[in-house]
Amino acid sequence: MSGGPLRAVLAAIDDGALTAYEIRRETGLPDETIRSALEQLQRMGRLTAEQVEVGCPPAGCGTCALSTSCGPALVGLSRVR
Amino acid sequence: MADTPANFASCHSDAAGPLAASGAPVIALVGSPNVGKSTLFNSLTGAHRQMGNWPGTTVEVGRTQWLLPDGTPTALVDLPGAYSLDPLSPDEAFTRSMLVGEDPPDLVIVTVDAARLSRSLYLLAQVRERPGRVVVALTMSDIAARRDVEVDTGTLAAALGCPVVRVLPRHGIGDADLAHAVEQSLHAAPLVARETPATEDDLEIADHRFTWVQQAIDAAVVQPTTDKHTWSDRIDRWATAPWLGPIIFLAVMWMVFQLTTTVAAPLQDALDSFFSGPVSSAAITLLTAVGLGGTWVESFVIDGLIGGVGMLLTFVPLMAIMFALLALLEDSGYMARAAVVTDRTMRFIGLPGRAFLPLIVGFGCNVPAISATRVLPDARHRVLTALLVPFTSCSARLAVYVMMAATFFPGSAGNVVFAMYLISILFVVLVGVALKRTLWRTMGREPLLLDLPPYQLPHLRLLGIVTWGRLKGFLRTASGIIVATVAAVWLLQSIPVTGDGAFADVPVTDSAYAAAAEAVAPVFAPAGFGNWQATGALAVGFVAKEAVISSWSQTYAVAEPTDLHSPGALGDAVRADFDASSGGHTTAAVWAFLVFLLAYTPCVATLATQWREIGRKWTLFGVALQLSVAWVVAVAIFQIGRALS
Repeated sequence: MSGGPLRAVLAAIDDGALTAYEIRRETGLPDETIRSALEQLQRMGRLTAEQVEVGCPPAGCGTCALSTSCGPALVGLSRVR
Repeated sequence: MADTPANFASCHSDAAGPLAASGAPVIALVGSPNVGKSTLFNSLTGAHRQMGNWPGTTVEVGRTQWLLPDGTPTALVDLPGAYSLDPLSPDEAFTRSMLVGEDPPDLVIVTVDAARLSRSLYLLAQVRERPGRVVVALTMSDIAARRDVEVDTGTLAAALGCPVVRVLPRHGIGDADLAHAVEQSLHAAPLVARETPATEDDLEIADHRFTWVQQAIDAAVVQPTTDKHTWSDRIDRWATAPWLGPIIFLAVMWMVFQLTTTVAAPLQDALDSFFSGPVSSAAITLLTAVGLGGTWVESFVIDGLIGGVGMLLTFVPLMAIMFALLALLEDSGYMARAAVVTDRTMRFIGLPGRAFLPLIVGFGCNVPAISATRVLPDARHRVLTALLVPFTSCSARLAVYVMMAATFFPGSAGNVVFAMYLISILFVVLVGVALKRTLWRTMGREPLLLDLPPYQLPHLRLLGIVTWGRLKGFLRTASGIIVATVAAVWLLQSIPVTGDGAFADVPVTDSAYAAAAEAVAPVFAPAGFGNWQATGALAVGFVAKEAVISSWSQTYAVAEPTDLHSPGALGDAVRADFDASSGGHTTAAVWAFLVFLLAYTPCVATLATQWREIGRKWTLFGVALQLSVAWVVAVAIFQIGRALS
């Protein structure tokens, strides 16, 4: 782990970790610490979060058969540099 | 904050308690939201609190007098919940101003959740960066114990450099111990501030706090050597694995298409018989009864509305099953894992990770998918992704795949539909790589983390609502834009341009529709479907892909109205034309047609959205790209297929 937990989590994301599970595998940090670090990084503006619509967008074309439902609460955290 | 303000704007009270006298020590109760801070406040004071806005603010603060064991009256102030002293909300800003302002409280009780120590100790780390009296109230230790997490309060106190008292305010446990600790701290000298790094780098400062917190946790907390793997974790080990994940995803989607086509087929046949039989007969009888038999009205109703829209409606069972299965995957949480798999693929080929977000949406509908490219901060990412979205196979194309597959490959319709989705992914990848290596060679990567929701048992009611919501969208399409397209196609097929026919009484081969399609059809001859019927359907498909089916149905209903009154007759008619145009190489021509249908411009709504999002130049480039790719690949498929057969 280089630096503290925050830097370790950021490094894992930069190295391609896609989920909290993969960050844990890479850093060895407990889940709780990873969750906490992710929240802190969001607060600091180092990550931005947005809900990811998978398969059913809440808005869109009126002719679209999928325009009326919403997706699961998958959240994407994007790295901000 | 040597005293709480006299003009504390009390608006109500839980049970109006006395306020501490002027000069009484002020004790601030702080903590992250949901750590049990207010419950502790109530437990300590018997719920006697006055609530009101702090003077000059709109922040509501509770306060009351709290008597310590030695009888000392104190003013206990319940400050708003705050995760950190770097405020993101007015409440947090207020808490910060109270703690680090010119007049700080005499003592701070930091409420800390034992089950979520890492989260709640960050605030303490900041509080401890200033000299002052601090006591930690450790809540939720019962919940922590249920997770096999044991906190040694003595060790934790040593690591944090301040007293730690275990409390369970719901049961009044630990209140007296906390009062004693506060009393002792008030009589002792303020704590020395903990050391902080001499830097302005906010990340380094925050990381230092996290390290301090983690060291305290490592020293004082006994927890399972590894975090408990939940069911979601265990499944995700396989479902999101780099190589197995995509295979599982493809297998799941294969099952969806198999189930959809297999279960829907008999229902679809029944509806086909219904529309082409009783519904058509009843309409003719009714129209004849009102004197409209044999007129253009009958032609429009029978050949247009029932032939076109009715044929589309036979796909309702198929769409319903498909939507239900997809809703099942979404509600269970699996589709979120599919997003991880897709994202990994995007990264693997060097495309920006976030590009997968709109692309996933594109498999539902291309229009909102292009709108979703706004999530991409880089303009080049937006343009590239908006150009790739039309290659994702939207649900509108599904109905055409199914019709073609059921006609030409009746024994393996599910496999054919599945293959079309694989080809769609292949298009996205190959076109994406090609564009990136030519137009956007310098585009950088952009890491993205996905916070997966846990797996859950699907809720039947929710599945029903989602399925019905989407089915309504399909029906709305059929009753809106498709009816309008059907009317336009009917009009074009009713206008004679050759022969002796009159309006609405003309062989379709002599109509304006056939003439226009005939003029374009040679373009598709190298792809094996250079007949005007297929060309006309593809042209109408520019409006919406569902219209391919309705226009085909109209074309053959006008051409052979009697024959189409039997189930499967549309498929037979289409097959005959493909046989003829391909010179007997029907299978190759059908695959070429399907791939062309997949790759060419999805619909006018997609074009309009592209125009709005990425401008005219890139939209026109996209149309040219889609048509070029579609034509080249379709021709290649047919020519190779013909050579091999």
